[in-house]
Amino acid sequence: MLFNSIDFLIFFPIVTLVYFVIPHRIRYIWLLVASYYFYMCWNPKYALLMATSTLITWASGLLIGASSSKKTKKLWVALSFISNLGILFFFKYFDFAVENINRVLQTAGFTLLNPKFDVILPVGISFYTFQALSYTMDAYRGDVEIEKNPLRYALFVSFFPQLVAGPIERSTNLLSQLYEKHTFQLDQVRSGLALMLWGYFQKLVIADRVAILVNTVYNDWSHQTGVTLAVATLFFAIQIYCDFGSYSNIAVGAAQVMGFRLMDNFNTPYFADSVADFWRRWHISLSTWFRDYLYFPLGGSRCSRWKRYRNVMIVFLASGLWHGANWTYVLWGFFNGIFQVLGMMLKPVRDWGVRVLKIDRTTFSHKLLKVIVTFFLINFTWIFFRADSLEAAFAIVDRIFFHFYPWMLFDGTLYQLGLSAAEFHVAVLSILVLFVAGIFKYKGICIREELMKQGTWLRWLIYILGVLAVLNLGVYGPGFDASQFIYFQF
Amino acid sequence: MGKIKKWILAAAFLVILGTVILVNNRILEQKYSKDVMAGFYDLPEDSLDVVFAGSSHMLNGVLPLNLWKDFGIRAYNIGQHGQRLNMTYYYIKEAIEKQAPQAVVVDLYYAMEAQTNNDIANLHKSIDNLALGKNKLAAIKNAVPSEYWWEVFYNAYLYHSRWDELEEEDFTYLTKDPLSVTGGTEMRWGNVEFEQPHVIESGTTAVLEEDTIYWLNQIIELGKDTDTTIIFTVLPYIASDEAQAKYNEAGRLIEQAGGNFVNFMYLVDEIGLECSTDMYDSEHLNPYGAKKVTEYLGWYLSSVQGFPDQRENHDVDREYWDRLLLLFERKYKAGEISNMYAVDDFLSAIQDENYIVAIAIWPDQSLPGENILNSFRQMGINIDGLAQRSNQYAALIDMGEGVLVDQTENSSMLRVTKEAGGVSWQLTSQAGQTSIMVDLQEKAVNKSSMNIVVYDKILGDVIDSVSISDLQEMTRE
Repeated sequence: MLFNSIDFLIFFPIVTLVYFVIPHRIRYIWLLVASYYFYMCWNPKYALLMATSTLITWASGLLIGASSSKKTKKLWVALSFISNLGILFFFKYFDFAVENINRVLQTAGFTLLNPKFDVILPVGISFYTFQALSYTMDAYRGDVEIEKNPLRYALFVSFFPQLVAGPIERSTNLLSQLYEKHTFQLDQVRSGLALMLWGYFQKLVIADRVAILVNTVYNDWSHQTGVTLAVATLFFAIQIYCDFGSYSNIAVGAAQVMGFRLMDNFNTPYFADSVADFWRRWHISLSTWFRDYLYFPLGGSRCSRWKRYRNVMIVFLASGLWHGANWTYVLWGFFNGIFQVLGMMLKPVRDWGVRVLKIDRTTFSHKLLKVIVTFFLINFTWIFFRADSLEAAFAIVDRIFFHFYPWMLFDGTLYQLGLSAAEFHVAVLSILVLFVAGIFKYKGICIREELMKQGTWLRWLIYILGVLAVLNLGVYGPGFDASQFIYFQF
Repeated sequence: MGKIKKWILAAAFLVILGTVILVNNRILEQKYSKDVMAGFYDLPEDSLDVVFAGSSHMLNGVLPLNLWKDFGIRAYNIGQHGQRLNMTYYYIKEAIEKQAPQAVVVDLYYAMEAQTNNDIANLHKSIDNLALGKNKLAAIKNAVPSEYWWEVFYNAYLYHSRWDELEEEDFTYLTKDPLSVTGGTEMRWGNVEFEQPHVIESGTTAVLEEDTIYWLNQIIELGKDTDTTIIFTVLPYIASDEAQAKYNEAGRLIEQAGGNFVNFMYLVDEIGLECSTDMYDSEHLNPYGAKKVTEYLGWYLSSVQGFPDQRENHDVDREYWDRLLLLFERKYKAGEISNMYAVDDFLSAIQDENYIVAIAIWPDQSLPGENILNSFRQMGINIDGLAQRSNQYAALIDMGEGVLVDQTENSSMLRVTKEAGGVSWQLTSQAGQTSIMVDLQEKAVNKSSMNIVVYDKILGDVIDSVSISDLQEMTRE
């Protein structure tokens, strides 16, 4: 069930209403049923996979809790990780692995393997697998109490607002909230709905509109020039941020309506002043997952310089692979890692330059320059993320840098890329709104809280304008292929 | 803030939001043939003798107000584009519930095929204008494929993206319902010439689709249940032999069930229909054709079905229907004029006491032809001023009152403003531009020639705007 579907607009109020009406002791069961229904709307069979992951990690928690020796605990952790990652590998990476093994075999003249596993990737498998594994690890570390109730634990893994595209919640945050008694609070509901509205604006008005141009250009990249490809890449940066950010906002908002507090997944990532900073602001739940469960166990930064570089590269290659079984994602992860490693390696040089040129690092201009350079680097990596193949990605880079005809920015070409002039202007205008909202957030101002302090008429006006903007400017309806949220595929 | 106050505010907000969304959707919705059903709902209760229902063939094919004029029958046309019998059934039901007419005349054009309509554009055209209620819900359930239910029920789902094509009428309809001055009928002026249709033997039939038979029977039963006379008809068009055979079969079934059937395919000669002049296209009649069909139907209703002349009935609001007739006749004439392309015919037709005519001439053109000058002279214009072609020239003539403005000026620009016919006029003549603004809205075609705008005082609307070139070619926008 998509957040931007009529089904969800019916499903969510019913689930919420019933949640507050029924007794507290059975609410988690109601949410569990609702969550499995939500998930099974895609494919009922895949609910079995989620249930399997749930069972394994729940049992691992019990076994870890019952074990006294560290060695035994480690064994249960290993078994939980191996079985869960095994399932993930089988469904997500098996074909990719076979394809690559075949390439190697082909060059060596051996017979090719042919066990093609032709199934659709279960929606959200990477998300709930990581969320479930976080419980195993937290249980091992003693950060969370062992959950004995399998149904309550199953709800932690399947909680519908964040089930298929995050935020990837930690047991330390969400599991304990499943015991809380939530009451219907108008302010909380209002705030949650406002966040959902902002999410719908990001998705329907911005992401799905700019996606039209991005798809037009990237699906026909071989007939495009540097200008259109650059604009499409820029738009893709906006699209993926709004698409993914909107899902997180709707998820956090929906959970908030029911009284749950989910983690913030994005913190103005395009205002980051370095690639490392970008990853502290982008997909925070995944970044921190990798940090806590991969980077730190590898030694993190408390090791030699070269090991540190190695750790960064491992984390980002894994992150790339997590996003999809394709070399384009691996290379995307590689670039994100290497930019950070180069940043660390060149730090003495940068410091020297700053000292010699007497640059004041505290000035706005210096910071702005860093933000712009970071944005440029991230945009560069998005080319690999969006392109269908490595060949396409490199060709697109080549065209952007060596076949850039600036007059095409002004001769009306941009209005021939799937968006009419009016649609293009709406896209630009809505991106400006996004930018302004970003500035507020960057400055630490919560617009929703500020709005709550305003007079009734202004609040209502803004809410109504928001609803109208989504209803009228949103890209949906007949003729529109209700595009799924991009991150569902990961 | 008290808890109760918070809840009251929340409820108030939802009411306001709902209202804003309703208004918003009303602005954005497509206004296709909106006046047809809006006019129907606007009629006084139980004020109709006859309702016409069906597809665009019906919507274009009869002139209900001519029935009042010639036979004293009060009628209204609720035909809709692309409407199949399964949808027509619910329109008839709605009409019977709202107006309880003695008879419903049902167009059978779509009897030639199955009634399943998968064309979503057609579905919108045929159901959007039905008011939300049990009939609309039933129509959606039974005549719309389930995958389109949401879209048809909440049509803003489709129309929300019309924000970049909004026009004046989208906002006008917000404050007032569009009034149909044609008794619902959509008059399509224009003409494509055809040979007379080939008509097959009346005994030749072809099997109808199952659902067609089902809905035919449903309509017949509806008529019986509500004591309403149902008269099925096929209006004349260039029909294929196969379609005609199906209409014959439909007629056979209807008559077998004791119903009424008037097949105009066999009445083409009797009503004097000329396919060279009376067809808008191969499918639809233009108003000249509709007029002939209506004359026959009037005779049929009064002589065969025994409908009384309501003009003699003192309980009938004769003034109301006479007023509608007057508006219809004005509209009919406006349509005729807007379909004229001969300068002499046009200039002669606009000499009507209910018209205000505005003329603004783009200077530096050659002298208007003698025929044009003669027409202008008949309107009361001093044509001497027109002889100086380097001058600016503007005129405003109230045909009932005489010339209001007739001004020539030897300067770079001539601009005159005047109130007339209840609206303000601003006429501008200068090199490179002519402008005729009515209530500050530009109405002139603004070509390098003679620009004329015609305003009907009874309709309260501009009915035509043309430019006439030096070569006496007429152009409209």
